[in-house]
Amino acid sequence: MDTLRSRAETLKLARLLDVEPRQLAFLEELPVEEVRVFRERSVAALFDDAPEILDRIAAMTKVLPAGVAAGIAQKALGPRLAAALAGRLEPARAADIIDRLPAEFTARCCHHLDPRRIAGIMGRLDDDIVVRVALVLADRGDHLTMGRFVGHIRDSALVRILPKLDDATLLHTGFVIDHPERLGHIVELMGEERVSSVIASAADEGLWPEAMAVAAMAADRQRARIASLTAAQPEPRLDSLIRTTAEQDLWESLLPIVALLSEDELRAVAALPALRDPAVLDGLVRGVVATGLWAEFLPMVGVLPPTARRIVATAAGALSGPELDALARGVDKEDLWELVLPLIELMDDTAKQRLLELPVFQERAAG
Amino acid sequence: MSAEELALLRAELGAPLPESFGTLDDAQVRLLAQALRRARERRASGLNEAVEDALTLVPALTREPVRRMLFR
Repeated sequence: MDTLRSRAETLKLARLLDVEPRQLAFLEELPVEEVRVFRERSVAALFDDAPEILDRIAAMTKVLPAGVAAGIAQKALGPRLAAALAGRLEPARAADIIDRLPAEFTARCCHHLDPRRIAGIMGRLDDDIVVRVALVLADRGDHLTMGRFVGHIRDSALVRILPKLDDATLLHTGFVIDHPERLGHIVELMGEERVSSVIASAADEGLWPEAMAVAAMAADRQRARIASLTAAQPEPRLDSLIRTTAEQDLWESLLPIVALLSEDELRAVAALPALRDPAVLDGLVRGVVATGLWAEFLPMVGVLPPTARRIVATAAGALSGPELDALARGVDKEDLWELVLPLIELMDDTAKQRLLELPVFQERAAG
Repeated sequence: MSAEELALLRAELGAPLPESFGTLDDAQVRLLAQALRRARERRASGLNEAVEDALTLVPALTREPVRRMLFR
């Protein structure tokens, strides 16, 4: 999950600093929580350092009727200054003025608003304006701004917005949501049919990474439901999920989702053509070694077709000494020997010998 | 990375850097510091421009008193 979270976090920071995301790709190697902390401190550095003039304009605005202030904001201040001002006003006063502005203008302001002021303002806005602004943001393809706001939108507005957004917009927005703890609830509001449609669009529009990130952020119950609805997709779509995962090395994101499937669903996934491709299976084994997701991986190996299982055994047998040691220790730590022994039986003699010589085997033999 | 580059980034951020940022190389730290500085400059100049634009909509006779109030 960290690869995708890091990708989303880097995207958010790049947007905040107005640089190309690829320029900050090096941040994807750092712990995602620390990049998030850096972004939050950057927000403070940029927004707390506001020129004094803003406070003077804010003071002048306070004495005007909200309608007049809205007129001035729109006709004279422009979205950047209006957003900066909204950040200096009491949230209730800001909301009062926003209520009188056209949605198109407010949507442009949202992009420039101090993210820390969003919760206070959103809680006071009328549903109608929230719905209109959300739709303008979607039309503009401004998913990062939507991601900042969506966690603060009331259910009464969400149920009006969600059916009007296309699947790709939902995926792009969910990927960069600022309050992921709200995702489970939003998925619940969408209903099964819509979630299924979003999963189909993930396959058809090349958005599997976004979908996996959303599934990982959803609450346990929704994640299991997303996993089942994904497994029910036609074979070509599921195959594209495996291919994308292999190409982008996202096994750490996919395996925890696969682990939630029932045995029948797991069999359907294990029979996919992509999981007979030696290059894919080799990457999968290496992904498991790197992430230690043995408990998620081995049950799937058990239901792979014999040819694929042999390829996995060969790939595992060809691991370097340290990688093989990591495999054995991971299996030992989670007591997964029962699942791994059939795999060891498929290895050639050299690989079996290398395994038996590993310290963890020696210790077991001695114990 | 050099302590000097890190100190510059810390100054731009106005807060301590998360620990792992110490593993970045000089060019990466410099890029972040420059991006932060430019973002702050853009924000400040954008605001000043917006105020100037806004003033053009104030009637000419009252423009100067309003400007003096704002930029006192």
